[in-house]
Amino acid sequence: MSRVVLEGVTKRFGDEVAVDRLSLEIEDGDFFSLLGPSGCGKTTTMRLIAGLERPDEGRIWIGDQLVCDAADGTFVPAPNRRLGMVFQNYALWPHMTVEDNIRFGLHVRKVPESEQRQRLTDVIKQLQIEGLEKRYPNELSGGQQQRIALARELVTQAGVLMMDEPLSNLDAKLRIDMRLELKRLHADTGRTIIYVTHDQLEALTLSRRMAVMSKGLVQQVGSPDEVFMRPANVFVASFMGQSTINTFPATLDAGAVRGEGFEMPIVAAASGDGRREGAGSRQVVVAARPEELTLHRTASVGALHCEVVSELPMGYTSLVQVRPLDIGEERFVTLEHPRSDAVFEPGTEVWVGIEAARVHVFDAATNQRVVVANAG
Amino acid sequence: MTTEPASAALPRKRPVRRAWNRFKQFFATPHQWMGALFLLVFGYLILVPVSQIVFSTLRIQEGDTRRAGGEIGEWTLYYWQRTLVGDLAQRIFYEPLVNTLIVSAGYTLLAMTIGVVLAWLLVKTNLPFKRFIGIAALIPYIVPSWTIALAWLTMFGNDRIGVGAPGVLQATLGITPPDWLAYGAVPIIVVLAINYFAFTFLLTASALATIDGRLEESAAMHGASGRLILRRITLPLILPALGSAFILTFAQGIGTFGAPAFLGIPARFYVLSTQLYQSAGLGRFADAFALTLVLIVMAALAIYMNSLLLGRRKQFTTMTGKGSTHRSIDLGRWRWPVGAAVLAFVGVAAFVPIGLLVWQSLQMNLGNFTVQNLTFAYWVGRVDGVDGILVDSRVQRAAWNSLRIGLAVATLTALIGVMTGYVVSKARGTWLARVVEQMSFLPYVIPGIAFGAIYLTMFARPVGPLPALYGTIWIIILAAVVNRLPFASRTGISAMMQVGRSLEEAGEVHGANLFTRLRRILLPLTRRGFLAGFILSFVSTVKDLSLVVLLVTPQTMVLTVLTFGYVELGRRQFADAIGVVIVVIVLGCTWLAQWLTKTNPLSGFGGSQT
Repeated sequence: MSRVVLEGVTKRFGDEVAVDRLSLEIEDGDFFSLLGPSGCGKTTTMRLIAGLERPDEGRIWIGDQLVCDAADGTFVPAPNRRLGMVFQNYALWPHMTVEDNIRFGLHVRKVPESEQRQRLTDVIKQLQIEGLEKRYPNELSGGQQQRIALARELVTQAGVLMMDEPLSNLDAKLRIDMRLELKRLHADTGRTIIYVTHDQLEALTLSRRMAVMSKGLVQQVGSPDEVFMRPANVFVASFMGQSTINTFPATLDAGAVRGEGFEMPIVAAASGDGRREGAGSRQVVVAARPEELTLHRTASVGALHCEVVSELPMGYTSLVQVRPLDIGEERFVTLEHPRSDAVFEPGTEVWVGIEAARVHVFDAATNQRVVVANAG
Repeated sequence: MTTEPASAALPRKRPVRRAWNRFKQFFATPHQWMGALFLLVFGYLILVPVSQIVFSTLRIQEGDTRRAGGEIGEWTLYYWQRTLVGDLAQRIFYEPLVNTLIVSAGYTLLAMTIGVVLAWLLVKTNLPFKRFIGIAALIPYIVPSWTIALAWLTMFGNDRIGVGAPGVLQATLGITPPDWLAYGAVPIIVVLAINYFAFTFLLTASALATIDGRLEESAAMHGASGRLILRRITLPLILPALGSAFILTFAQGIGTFGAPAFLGIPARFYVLSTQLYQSAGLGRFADAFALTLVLIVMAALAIYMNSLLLGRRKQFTTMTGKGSTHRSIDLGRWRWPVGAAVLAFVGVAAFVPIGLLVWQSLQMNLGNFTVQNLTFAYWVGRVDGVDGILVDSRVQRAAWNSLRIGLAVATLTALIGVMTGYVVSKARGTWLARVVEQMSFLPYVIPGIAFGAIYLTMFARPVGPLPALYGTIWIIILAAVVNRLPFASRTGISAMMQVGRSLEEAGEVHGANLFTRLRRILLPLTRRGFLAGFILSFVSTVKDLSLVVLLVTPQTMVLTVLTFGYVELGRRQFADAIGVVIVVIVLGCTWLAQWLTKTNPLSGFGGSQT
């Protein structure tokens, strides 16, 4: 069984807390991504699971074995954890041929020669790297190196396979090919895969479940759809999107969310934990990605009255930057709009539709999601 | 699952088990126990001896009970009084101190001037014969300084002082070189400058080569002339490197022994290192230790100033840009004359000393520079009951000692280099890495001769687990290993740092234990660097005189000290012949190391003192 469980794991480097009371349960056979900006603690989390770092607090289980307990100093070192790990720079040993690289782990674990040969043949076929066996890593292209690194981990048949930004050194086209390949490998092998990335698209396309991290803390755990569609807080909402998110301060009460220059009718509201809201108004933040706003040439009820500042065509759609009129401060709103519509000249008068079904509402004080139901 | 994490109770306190686990963990983490072992061993081999000599200058020694007025072991300021304010203070302390400062300042300035001019010409201009000049300029730095000193005597010696044999000038041209040119401050300064200019040359050249060429080009775009660019842009940018080179050159030569011994002692010109040797030879160890401490303090101050300077140097980050586009300055009509002059100078510095030694080793009668006087007697024959050096059993024994001491030191330093490199690269960023790195650098401030004096007394009797080592080759090996530690650990650290951390971690994840990781991953990847380090350790041990001169006994005689003995006896031809043999070994091995690494093994903070 290749389940991985972390419980209250904390890791400090000097005064800096890299991972803060992290608890995670990664199911057997899961494709689990750790997603976050650089320095958020995702790589450290993976290294803690691998046994390359030792936590200051907390416990880690791999399968049914307690591999690490900071309270009593239990610690199973990396060589005894039997995991696979693909490093960001691949860490192929430059002085060994491709074959020696792949067979290293088998050799160390004293797998019989005949079985080594068999497994080598299998993995070479599986990853389509025939004919490279006698080459040295520096004689391979980046994509080939990536496959060798993968082969080296697959061949050991470790139950848990970890990958640290494995595609970040590939060019854009190859990256998409490898994504498909990884998905296929996961389906074929049924291994537990823990995948570290800063690229939300990679996490969204590959994972079954994912954790979004920031500053050592887990912000949200869930399926890619959950995380993308129902971000738990402002950080997740703004991190999971192509461009900068628009935010509007507003007030929530029984019937509607009201901001400066716009109004959004709702029927009910509940906190992220499902708790029903009592009466009385409170301060909230409305967050909307550019594609979650709509642009109209005519006025409609509750919509934000703006003028166009500039338009950035992007193929099928364009990014339109507008400036709300009739509000106190000077600010800008960005939204995405189909190109099929006519061109927006700077200065054109427009209305921005903000609808409860599409946008996200967060409590201004706790930063947590408020579930609202749309009246319309 | 045996334990269900979700329902697990809060961790209870299990202090004993926790401590035991921590203890097990410590020893299961190789870089930690290696670091601890390192601190223990080298703490014992460096800090204990230094603190012991501090104490021994403060306590009454055997034989001094009457003069110092107290019992053996009683606390006293007698030795410091004697050294600093007593009747003899002028002769045993102040005069050598002033001489040391004059000599050090003199050779450092001279070496800097030569090195900087050479570096500028080679890096920045279209000087001809660059490749040859670059290689030849390193030779005087590779050969031991005492061979250059001997060659100096062969050239400028006169028949009034020392062995009384005329040098080339006196014998062939009939000019008697004045005493100040044959012995004393001037020849020592020139000889050490010739020995060290390559060091400042290397430091300056690498600083010049890393200046971003665009910085100079944009000054040219603003209309600055070549001279103005040199003065306002280039020089200020390499100034910190120059300061560093100055201090390190000064620190390197401060305790050097060979050249001041050959060129100073016959004319009663003493510097601190030769005075220290004299005191130790008379058995006045407390006096010698006072001088040792003065030398250590001077070197430590220099290194401290250097670290201040290098700290400040961070503000010059622009200069660490890629050594990009270099615009060679055209020397114009001066190109060939300057090229010829530089070629002549470097050629003389590199080859004339060796040629002179060979020539003199072939003279039947010393100081007779005619062709009729040539003989191989001192190499393969027999003169005055002494066999030629290639057939003399004493020389063979000394060669064997030099060889095995060199090999032992090289092996041990290579191992220690691997270990320190591993500890520091693995623990980087932690206090352990910092302490190990600093500890390994400490011996750099202890001049070789001071080391000899310290180990001589410390290991004359059994200490702790070690038996009395004096009279065995082990005392020499131990001293040389500790003396080489800064270089060995530096080689090891930079080699290990170059191996990305993930290469070892990938092995760890694959189930390889420390031994397998070392054997299959780390050592194969760092092999060349360590092999070069091994050879350079061997070379510097074989050519060393300062460190071993106090430590050898007739049974443990080595080639360099044998040479020294022949010089003292006035048997120059034997000394020269052995000197030639050492030069050949040293140059051959250095070339081998260079060939192995395909880089310049001498770059960095220098070779060792001789």
